[in-house]
Amino acid sequence: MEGPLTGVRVLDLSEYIAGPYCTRFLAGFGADVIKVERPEGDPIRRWGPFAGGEPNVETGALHLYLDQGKRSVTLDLETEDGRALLRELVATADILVESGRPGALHEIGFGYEDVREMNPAIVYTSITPFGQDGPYSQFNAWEITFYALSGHMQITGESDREPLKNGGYLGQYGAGQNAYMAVLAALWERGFSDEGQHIDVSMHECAVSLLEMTDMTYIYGNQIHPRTGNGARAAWGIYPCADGFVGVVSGPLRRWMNISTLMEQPVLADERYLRTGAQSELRDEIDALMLPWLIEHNKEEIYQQAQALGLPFGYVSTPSDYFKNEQLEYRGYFHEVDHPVAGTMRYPSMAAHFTDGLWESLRAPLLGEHTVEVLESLGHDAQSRADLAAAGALGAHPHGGVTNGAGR
Amino acid sequence: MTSSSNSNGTSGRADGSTGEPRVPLRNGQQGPLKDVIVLDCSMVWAGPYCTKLLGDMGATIIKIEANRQLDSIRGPAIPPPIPLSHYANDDPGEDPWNRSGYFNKTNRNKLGMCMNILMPEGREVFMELAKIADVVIENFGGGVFERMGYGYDVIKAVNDDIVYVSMPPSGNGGPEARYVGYGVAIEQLGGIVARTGYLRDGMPMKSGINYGDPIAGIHTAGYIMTALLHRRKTGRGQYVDLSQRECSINWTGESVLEYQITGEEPTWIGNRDHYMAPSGAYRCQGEDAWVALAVGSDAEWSGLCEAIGRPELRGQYATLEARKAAHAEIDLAISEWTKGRGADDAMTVLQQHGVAAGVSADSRRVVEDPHLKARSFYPEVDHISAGRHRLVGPAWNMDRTPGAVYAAAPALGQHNDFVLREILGKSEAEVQALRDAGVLETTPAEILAQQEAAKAASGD
Repeated sequence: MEGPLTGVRVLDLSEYIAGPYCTRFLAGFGADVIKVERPEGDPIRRWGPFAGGEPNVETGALHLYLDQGKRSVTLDLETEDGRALLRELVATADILVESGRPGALHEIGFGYEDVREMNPAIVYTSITPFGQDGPYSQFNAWEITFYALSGHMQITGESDREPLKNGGYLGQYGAGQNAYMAVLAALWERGFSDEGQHIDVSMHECAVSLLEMTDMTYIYGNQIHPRTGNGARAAWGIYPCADGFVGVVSGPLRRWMNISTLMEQPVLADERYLRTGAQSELRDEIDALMLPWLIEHNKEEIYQQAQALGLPFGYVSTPSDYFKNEQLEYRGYFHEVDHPVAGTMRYPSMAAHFTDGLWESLRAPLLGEHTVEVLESLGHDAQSRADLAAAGALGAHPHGGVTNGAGR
Repeated sequence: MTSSSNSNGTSGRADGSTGEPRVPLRNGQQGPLKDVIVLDCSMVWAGPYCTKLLGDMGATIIKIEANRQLDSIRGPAIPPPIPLSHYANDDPGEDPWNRSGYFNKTNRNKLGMCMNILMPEGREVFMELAKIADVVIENFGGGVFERMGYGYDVIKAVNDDIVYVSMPPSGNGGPEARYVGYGVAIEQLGGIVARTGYLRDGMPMKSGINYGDPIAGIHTAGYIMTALLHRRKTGRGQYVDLSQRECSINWTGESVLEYQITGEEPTWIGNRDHYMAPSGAYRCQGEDAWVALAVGSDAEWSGLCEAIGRPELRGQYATLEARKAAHAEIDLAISEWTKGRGADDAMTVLQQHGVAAGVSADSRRVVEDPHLKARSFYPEVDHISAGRHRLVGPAWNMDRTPGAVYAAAPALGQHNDFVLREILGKSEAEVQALRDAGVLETTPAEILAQQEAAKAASGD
């Protein structure tokens, strides 16, 4: 399929989550993303769980999802021949995405200044924990580090317990999503100027940006945004129900009566609950009136009935819920994708419908699957490829080794 | 393929775009999108978050509000005795709707018009703006904007290659097309909450904010750029129908595959981690002071043992599995060390030993962070009513076409004249006619009614 980014070549040197998530979008919209991997592969390939159960660089869940639609080339950048091949690839690329420690790529001749010399029109995108400069730029970080320093943890959880991180990788996904937008903006501008540039994306700053609300508590109000657990007021948060947890969200005050209707609890329509502030002051009382109905009903049922009354309820969803939900089915959000080792599974696509389609869900590449064809396209014949392999430029195991077994 | 000859070079622009701004730019407006015009009918947070990102990159954002229905994040025109919003210097002042921190952070760099687009004269102006816009964006939900007479077909009829973005909670069309949703529910529906909660607690935990909104906003900005590049290539506009729920599922996407692989649903494990141990938040000296860390490699484990003065633990728990099994004991050893130190001090020492540690920062610590300061992450702007304050900056830096926070959020209707005179080229007489017709306003309808009533009461 011809996509909006068909004809755009991306060299993806990034690892783990943020960079690969950015390039997943570039690939899904048609770009030719060449994932340049170290001979043993992006470390994310070693994160489980693994399809089939046994650790395998081809079947980790994060890798299968994040590397969709890319080509994989293994290069040993510690060898001069490996670096020479990367220089050849740089000359053909429109976009480069990397996630190395600031300065690390420069040490082997591929910092922005170096790459610009080879290809002035390249959009060189660095996605790193703390950005290219500043006192933390050489700090080490995992997801919990972003949650902490960006302020997410301190406002999540109960006030009398320890701050809580969110599950998953919102900091890294967020950086990847921001980077995707920034890369396309740079590509848009390059269409007029024919000039590339360096984009510096800090995962820390992306995480802080998600929280702009709580900044204002301090900037405007000179107060510390509190940690308030599952909610400081009634009917605005998570409640148990028969088969899980629902999000009771009362919405505007004019809708309050509908909660009384929904929960068959006429007392809830009493004026005392309609006063401004009542939902904070009388929280326990209101909770006690809602819980009997909630724990007798199922989450999807509560969600559907509440929405029919115009109440913006939700529920705590897991993948099995998605697969049962008619709306997601109607939208065709999940795409079935086959993979030669992992088999067929349903993958999330992306979150928008375009008149012209534009998106294609493809599978992740095997480690080094495209090394030969990419080398061929650079003009390396069989002899040259054999020489490069013998010199170790492609790594010792171009089709992958074993994993360290990390995972659940 | 060389860069200058590819399909995104200057050669193949099917949409006739030139990169030159088509409207006057304001002081400081700069960035890669300075030729892009966005007509922004979105409200609250998700849509405005998207247009904030585009505006930071130099796009001209024309925000349309009605004085009968302000963007609700401005807060009520007449605030309750205990205001729920955060007002500049904690003072709602005479014009609280212009002083809400929640509104002012997300709407910087935008031009603000307050115009009744349900009146024929307002509709006419709106359609003139739609003609020159590259993008129209709305997040009313439930087909409301379409019923107001501003559906895709209507806009497309006057601007064939428009990129029209609609961002309801679960998409337009389908059984849930008319559902309403706030970010607090979207983060639940999108799989984020199911993985958040204290270890072994019976309930999951909501996040401290409503993630659904900013997540949808960032997605949408990227989709708009995708559609614009498609337009450049093909000359075709695009209807973009977003689902905010799907945006959040994308950020937890691997859990969908994990479920199919293991048959197990995601759950919450506190501050622990499946692939790293130890992982947690540890109490430090001071009120509610914590440092968080996770150990993801052998080198980091060595560094941690050395930093906390417990080298004997290194060999004792050399593998991930061993550390997971002894997690509580290791937590105790770390806490023994952190409890006598300030969180910043603990972070510094741990980082010196290569450990991925970070202070659990409160809102003051975030805004005053020395690293963010060194990177000039909080630029200051002057707001016409709220005064001079810092605002969170763009989360990306471009070295050749940097974006900017160059203007504060608009007061209600602040740019009525600018948009009509400078952008649409109307005369003062034409603008006055619109004012006289009651199409343009700068004051909420509620306040005008109050003033009318007061006037009547005083016998005028």
